[in-house]
Amino acid sequence: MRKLLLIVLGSIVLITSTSLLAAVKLKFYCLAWQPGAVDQIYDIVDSWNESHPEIQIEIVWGTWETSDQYLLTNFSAGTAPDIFHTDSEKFREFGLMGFVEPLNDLIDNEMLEDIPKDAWDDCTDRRGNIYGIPWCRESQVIFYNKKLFTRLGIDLPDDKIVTWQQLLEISKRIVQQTNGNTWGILAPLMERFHWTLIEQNGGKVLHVDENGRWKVAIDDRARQAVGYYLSLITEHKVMPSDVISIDYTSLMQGFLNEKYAMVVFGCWNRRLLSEAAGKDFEWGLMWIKNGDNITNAADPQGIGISKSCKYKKEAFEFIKFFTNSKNSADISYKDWLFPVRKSALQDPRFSDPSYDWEFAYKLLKYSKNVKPPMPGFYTFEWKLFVPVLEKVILGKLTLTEAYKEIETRGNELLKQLGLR
Amino acid sequence: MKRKRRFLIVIANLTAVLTVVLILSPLLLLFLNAFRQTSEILKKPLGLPRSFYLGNFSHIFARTSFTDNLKNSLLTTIITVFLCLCATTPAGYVLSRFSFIGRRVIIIWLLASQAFPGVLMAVGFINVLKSLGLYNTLPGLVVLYMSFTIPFCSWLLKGYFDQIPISIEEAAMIDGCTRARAMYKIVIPLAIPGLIAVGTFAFMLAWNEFFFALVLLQDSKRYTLPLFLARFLGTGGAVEWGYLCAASTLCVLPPIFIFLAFQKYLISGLTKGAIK
Amino acid sequence: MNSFRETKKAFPYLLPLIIIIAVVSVYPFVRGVLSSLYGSSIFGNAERFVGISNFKALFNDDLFWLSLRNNLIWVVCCVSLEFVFGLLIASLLNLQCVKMRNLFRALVLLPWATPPVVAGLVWRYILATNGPLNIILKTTGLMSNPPSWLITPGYSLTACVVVNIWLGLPFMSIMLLAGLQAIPSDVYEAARMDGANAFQKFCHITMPMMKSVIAVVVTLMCIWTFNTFDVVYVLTNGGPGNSSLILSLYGYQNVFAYYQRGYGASIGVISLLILLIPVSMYIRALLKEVEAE
Repeated sequence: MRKLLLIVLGSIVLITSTSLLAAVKLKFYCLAWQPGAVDQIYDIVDSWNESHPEIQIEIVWGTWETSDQYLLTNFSAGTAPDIFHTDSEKFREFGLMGFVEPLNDLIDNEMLEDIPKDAWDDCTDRRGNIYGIPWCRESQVIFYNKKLFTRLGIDLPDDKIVTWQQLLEISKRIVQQTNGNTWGILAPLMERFHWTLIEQNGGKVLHVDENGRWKVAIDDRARQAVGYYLSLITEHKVMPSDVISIDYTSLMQGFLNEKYAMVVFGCWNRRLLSEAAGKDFEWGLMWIKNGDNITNAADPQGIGISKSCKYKKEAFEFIKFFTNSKNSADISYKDWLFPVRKSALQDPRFSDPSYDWEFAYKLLKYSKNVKPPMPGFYTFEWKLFVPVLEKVILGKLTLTEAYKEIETRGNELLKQLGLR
Repeated sequence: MKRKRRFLIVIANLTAVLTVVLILSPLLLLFLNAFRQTSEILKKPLGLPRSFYLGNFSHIFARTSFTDNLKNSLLTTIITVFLCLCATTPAGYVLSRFSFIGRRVIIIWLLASQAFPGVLMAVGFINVLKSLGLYNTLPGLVVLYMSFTIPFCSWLLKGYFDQIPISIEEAAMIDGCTRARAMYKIVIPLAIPGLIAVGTFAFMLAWNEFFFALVLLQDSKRYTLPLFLARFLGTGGAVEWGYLCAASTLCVLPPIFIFLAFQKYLISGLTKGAIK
Repeated sequence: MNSFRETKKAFPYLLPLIIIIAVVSVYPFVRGVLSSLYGSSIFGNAERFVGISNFKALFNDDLFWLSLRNNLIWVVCCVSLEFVFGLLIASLLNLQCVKMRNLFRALVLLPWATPPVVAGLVWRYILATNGPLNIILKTTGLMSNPPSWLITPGYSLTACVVVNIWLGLPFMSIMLLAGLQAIPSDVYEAARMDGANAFQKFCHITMPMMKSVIAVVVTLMCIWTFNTFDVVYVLTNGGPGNSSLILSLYGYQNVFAYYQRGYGASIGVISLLILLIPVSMYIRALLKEVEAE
């Protein structure tokens, strides 16, 4: 009896181990972090692993703050995950460095047509190599305190999109009518609202020539946009210097406490507000336009395959499944943002008025990547650009001085980085 | 006079109780919030758990790399402590018992190395570790931890060995013991409280260490707990306070237990070694 | 001659230590210092020798001067306040009349065992705009409109100092307590006979007899505090507006976020040069004892 049991057990172990040995194992580096989306991704990957014993996917969770460092280190060490998720424009950057597999031959027509062209563009180089599959993106919105607006008698236009001038006027009214107890608006520097404004005004800060050499030169339209943003703080005093903070919890609590009447964030932020807001708090969404330019920051995301992956076909099979209409809709919905596939966007949940999905969806058309596509942009932004703007915000520098400092020291910095 | 004295005694005791409560309140808050949902924490920052909610714990075990990271922390810490003890016992002994050439230089280096800025050491280490294939690995992290545990712990143990009268081992050596045997059979058993002190100290340093783990470990599966807390639950826009508090609670319990168990040794070891 | 023979005898015990120190301490240290003389580009790791130009660039870098200034404020505030409160707690726990002194001592020490990352995260929650601290301040009426500690430039460094004191206080208290306990009680007895009051006893007995302990603990704390990284990284990450940027953090950012490794290393070298002062004091204080043997 015992012998029999041993044989049965032994053969089970043998069979499972050989089948596991034969299976292709792929690592999938994923950056999703909102609990609902994480749960959904686990479920989808589990269902894939069950139905595809020959291709087993293992998730490696990463974080946005460190994904560049992680990917670059592992690319150059040859230990990169087979499949990875990151910002769309990074696929082109890493693709040009030779770390990412072009997917042109694997992509089928259904996929090609279902995803809008501008989404593909972010992941495509000049020769037409596609390095990543666009997956999801969001729209940037202004959250406003509904009850406060009603109490103060502030009406928004029907489409809830106001001009730069109107935004300033509303903010002024709020400060006046609350006797300075409530700030008009808060657009944290980390949310890159100023870059959106530069884009809305057609301005440029970082220029590149045909040889790929970069230069810092803030043109007049960019100056107008940055000037408008900073004037909310310095001249009109409707925005607090809290914009320089990165402490998300404190800032959100400020919005819930009526310290700020409006805050600029990505539309994913609706999730936290829906959880953290008490019964007596109501929020709504609005946005801003310059003329008819309604650009907002999209922060598009994609999924790709690294050059070092040994089973590219299998990896692509999984990506196809993972980003198919249903799955990308389910994940994006739980992540409080939007899939890029047109068919997935048909899902009625995305145009539902509850939690302002409808409004965020309407803005999606105008979503765009507003970050200048310069390698090392992060260094330029956080070591120089933002600190100089902060000095203006804290009244230690005039705007003219600031522009001059950004240009002279910026070009020095680009030289140090080998970009000039 | 007597009444005044009694009054002072009451005041002193009250102050002591208050000080303790004040100092412990952040930890207490942490433990309480581990049993509350994030939305509840955000809505009522200062409140008791409504029910004994365990969802935070089940989430971090089921849906995050917490289990792996806990294992990593345990492994790194235990190996660091073990290697540290192996290396510092002879080191402390030799520094205490011999007046060899270069002793002063070595002692100065050991003491001075506490001032080496982490960033300088990290820059110096990273290329070496990369070429050895230890970048982004736990063995690599242990090597980094050696760099700051061994110098100070050698010094601590030297202080402890100094307390053990040299005459004991000399007597043993006259009886025909070799020095190595005398050290092994007589000095080390006497120094066990010192070894416990050094072990506890190394444990806390390694368990709590953040900077080197941050610069060395890239893969979330290889993270240690502090890195997991700061990276996964602490940043990225919204902070999931419920999960964070649950994971933090589990992260803070091991060093607290070790500390409560061995603090007597740790304190006497430090006062004999580092301060005296 | 004698010491040469000693060295020979000591050699087998000494060798492992020398090898370990050379590998994990001397070598990376030298490499680190040398890399401050190199520059790097964002493309690849090709490094080129640039002499002292990193240091020259530091001289013109506002953020460097700001972080240096913050760092000095940070060390002075942390260590001096830790010393004052540490002495108070040590004296309290040294009083015979306080009941359950051992229990209290064990509990007061717990922050010492707390990982700084955990401390930073817990305090980030406590100090938030609508966090427990501000709620207490409002309900008790101490402050009707308390500031957002972590997002206001004037308070962020203070907030970091408070958290670091919470972490560092136990070590300071316990070392000072050990110093207090080492003072023989008959000295106080004699002073009492001579009619000295508490203040006189403190000035003429406690302080002089604690002098060496204080020197060692304070210099050691200065060294440790100067290089702190984790608390500030977790609590404010140097913000808002770099108002709590300190050298360790700025060095880290340059090396690991801004692709400027040599520049970051040169910040480490400057830190080390500044630390030479407390380090030499610390070593002198300890070596005095070694030499006295």
